[in-house]
Amino acid sequence: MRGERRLLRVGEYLIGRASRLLPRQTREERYREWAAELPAILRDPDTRPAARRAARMLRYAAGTIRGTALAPSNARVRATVIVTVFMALMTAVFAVSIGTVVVTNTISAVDDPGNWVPYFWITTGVVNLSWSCRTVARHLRRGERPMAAVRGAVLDFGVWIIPDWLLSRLLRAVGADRSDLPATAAAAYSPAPTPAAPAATAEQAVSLARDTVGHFYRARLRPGYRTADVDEFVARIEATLTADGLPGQVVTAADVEAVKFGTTRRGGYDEMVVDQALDHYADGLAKRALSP
Amino acid sequence: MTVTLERVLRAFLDDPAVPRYGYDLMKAAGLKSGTLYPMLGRLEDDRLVTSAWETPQRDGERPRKYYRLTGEGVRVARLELAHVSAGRSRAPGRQGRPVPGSPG
Repeated sequence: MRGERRLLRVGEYLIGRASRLLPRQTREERYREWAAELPAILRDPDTRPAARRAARMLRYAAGTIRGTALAPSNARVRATVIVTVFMALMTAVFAVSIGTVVVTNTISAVDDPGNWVPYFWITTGVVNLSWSCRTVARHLRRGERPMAAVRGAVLDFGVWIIPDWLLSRLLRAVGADRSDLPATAAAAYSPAPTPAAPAATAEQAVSLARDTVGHFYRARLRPGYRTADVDEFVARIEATLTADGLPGQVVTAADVEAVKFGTTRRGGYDEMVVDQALDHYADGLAKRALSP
Repeated sequence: MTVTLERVLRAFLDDPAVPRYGYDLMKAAGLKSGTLYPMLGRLEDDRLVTSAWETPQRDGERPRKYYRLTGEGVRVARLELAHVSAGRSRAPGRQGRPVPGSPG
């Protein structure tokens, strides 16, 4: 069989890992016993095709790791302690992260009561936490070991967190969740947008514009402005502001207000964030033109 | 007795005189290595199973470990399996739904 030696090495590695969990006096014997089965599995004439034999051999080798965890020995106790500590840490991390989600979204909901996204995440977080606490309580009530309760909680957190994470990415991609945007840009997306407070000076307006530019946002599942066009225009504005603009390249507030960018179906800059930045730039340029 | 233990004992009792190696038992009992070996270890501790290393047939070939039931193991296995079978035959069958149109 092609690659037999390599497969055997992988199998022997897995068996070696399993043997390490066993007590010293049985380790060597178990390794020899299990390793001797590997070539026999790979050459088993009853199993066809060869790929199936290879898969069976690897499954056999991996299964020995599980078997050693069940073996009565000191190593089992050590492995159980390690797994328990790991599980407890994972539970703590999950609980803290879900708690953080609930707290930050509560703050967001207070700041922006019209936005539905924070309420959605608060509800999801509370359901996650209560469901997992219920699992732990159920296991403990049945008189099971705390390890089983912790394992149940981790599994529950895991089951919730993966779809939550995917959903959060989707909400951001379609532009519903804008929690990673600066406050000035995010304000533009609330269902009832409140006009940003006008900057008092040109420098303040330019600073607001630069802050927003630093958070340009790629709209992954929606049309957006072509990034090259926007970057080039912003570079021209910056050159004008730093007095490096070439004659004929100088940008005025009227130019900023009149500019039109090409669009792409996906992956372009979020149009509303760019427009927000341009409004600040236009404001800054207009104020600079008026000042002596 | 668990179903997995029952399967292992039945595999041994197919021919109690023939020593069986691990992979052979796995195939016969339809168990995974992670389930079979701890069980063999427990049976060995209870002196129901004995193991021995084979003499390699060819140079460079690793010797395999063979397991077989001890005399006591054969007796206990037969007794336990008979007990299980008797228990199953005594268990009341599930009350099926009457065939539509049948009396009662």
